[in-house]
Amino acid sequence: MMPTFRRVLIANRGEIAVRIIRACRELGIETVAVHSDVDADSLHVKLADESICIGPAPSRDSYLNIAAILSAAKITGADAIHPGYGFLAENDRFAELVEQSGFCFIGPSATSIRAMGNKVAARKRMEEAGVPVVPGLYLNGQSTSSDVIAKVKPPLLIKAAAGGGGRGMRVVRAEEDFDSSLLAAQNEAQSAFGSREVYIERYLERARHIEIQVVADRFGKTIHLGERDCSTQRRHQKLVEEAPSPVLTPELRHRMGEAAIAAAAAVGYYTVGTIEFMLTQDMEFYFLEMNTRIQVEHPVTELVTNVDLVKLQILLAAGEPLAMESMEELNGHAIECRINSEDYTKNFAPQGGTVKALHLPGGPGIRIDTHIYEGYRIPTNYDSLLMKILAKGSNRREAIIRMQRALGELVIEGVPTTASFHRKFLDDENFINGAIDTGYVERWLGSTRS
Amino acid sequence: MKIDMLRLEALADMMEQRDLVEVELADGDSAIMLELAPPRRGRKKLIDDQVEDPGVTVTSSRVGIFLKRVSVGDQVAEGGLLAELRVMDVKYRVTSPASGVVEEIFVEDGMGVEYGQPLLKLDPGSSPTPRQE
Repeated sequence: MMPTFRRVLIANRGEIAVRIIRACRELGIETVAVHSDVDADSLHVKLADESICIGPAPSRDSYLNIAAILSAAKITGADAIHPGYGFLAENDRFAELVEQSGFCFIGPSATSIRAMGNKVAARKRMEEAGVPVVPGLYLNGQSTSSDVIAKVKPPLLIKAAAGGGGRGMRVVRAEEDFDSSLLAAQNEAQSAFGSREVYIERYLERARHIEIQVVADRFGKTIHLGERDCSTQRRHQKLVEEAPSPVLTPELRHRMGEAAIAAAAAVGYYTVGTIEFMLTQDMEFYFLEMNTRIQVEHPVTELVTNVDLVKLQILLAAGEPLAMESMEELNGHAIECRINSEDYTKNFAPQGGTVKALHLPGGPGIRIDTHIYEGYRIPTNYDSLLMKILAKGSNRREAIIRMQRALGELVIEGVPTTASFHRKFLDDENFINGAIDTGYVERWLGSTRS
Repeated sequence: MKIDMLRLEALADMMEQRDLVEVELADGDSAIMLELAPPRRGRKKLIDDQVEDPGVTVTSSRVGIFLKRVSVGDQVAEGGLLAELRVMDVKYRVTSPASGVVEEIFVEDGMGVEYGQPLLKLDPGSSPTPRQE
């Protein structure tokens, strides 16, 4: 067996930092937590073997401060850095500097991150690898709107090449709206990502978001661990994730899994990652993007495969070969609800506050990943995710009932949370029947308001 | 009711933690009421400390290796070099926010420091000659 790490620095905060500390502890690896000054009382700081303050509250001065993080790793004697998700996790420059500074980056190579980071380049590479992509075209300076309309009929989608998270994105339903939407998307792309580059693709009506978990080692082996269905989302922010998908057949799972393996292999991937697909109503799937990191919703897969993805990610980074095969038969059913400090009745506006009282659900089949505790003050500088509640059942019906029961037990006082959304949404007939798509939550919110 | 100071203190701490302003405890025919006055205790204490101690504490603005450039008892001018912080391969100067005498150095030369960590203390009022203890 390859020697693993002695000490890992976690360049993140919140629940994912806690999750990584737990994985390290189980592997017998020491942990270093980094934190901003407002996070001094955060749970990851308390749980780590050592902690170090890297800057003031704004992310750019702390969790995005590459020099401070590398310096912290050096001072504390870490030999590897785990980026978590968000912040610097998909920053190719960071991955490169970590390695150049003599630490191991627990994630993909800078080259893989770069290859998947630019959406236009990634699309092209996926086409070459035989992975289905949504019919569309890259918009160069010469293209006129009539050229575009001739090639891609509305409804169509304008997307920022460097984008993600729904920014720089516009749906065009009527030909005459194309020019104004294009300008708006380009301006938004410029301010969010510093590039006006956009591309156009067919807008897939009422499609589902299905993603495949892939795992690869440094010896050229790539496998997949089945799908997660993340169709319950609002403005590209996922709210509920589950596995298996209520609509995938074993045959389709196999084909999507093979496509995901091809996609990861095409960029020389050697860690855990996710290939996101859109699945249309006629069961055609298209590559959406790759997330070159551990994902928020990774525990859903852990529950139905019995694989600890974070431990596996660390061991793969340390150079261990992958000792398992793809899993196409998932064990039972798992659902995750993302509990954010947001008021869903006010357009999901993020809220700060202090957790005045907290009661966590428990009992059979319930897993909680969180960093909050009674008395915890929620800083408004960061992501609003407070907690992930997971319910596992022998089948989807049992998992849903368990989740409803867990949401009923949950008490978080002092700040509004999305739990009030989830309590209602999990009772929705269409959700229960699995008959939803990525636009469903918006429509549901519209109908519950009126 | 017997007044137990330790219990009262624990109660006051609990009130602060939960943002409670008033608590009334009743036992038989006696009762006691606790009221936390704003500004809260913690903040008030900080202000008191500052009033009692005119020293200026210089904290680290970076994560790096502390390289001492002055000694206790040294007179420094405003803007003068106190220390350097080595962040990876780059050195940053730590300069004095005021003129005065170096009263105490909290960090050993060559040790790692975190953001916000107190590095040294200056006595801005004291004269350049013998340091009073």
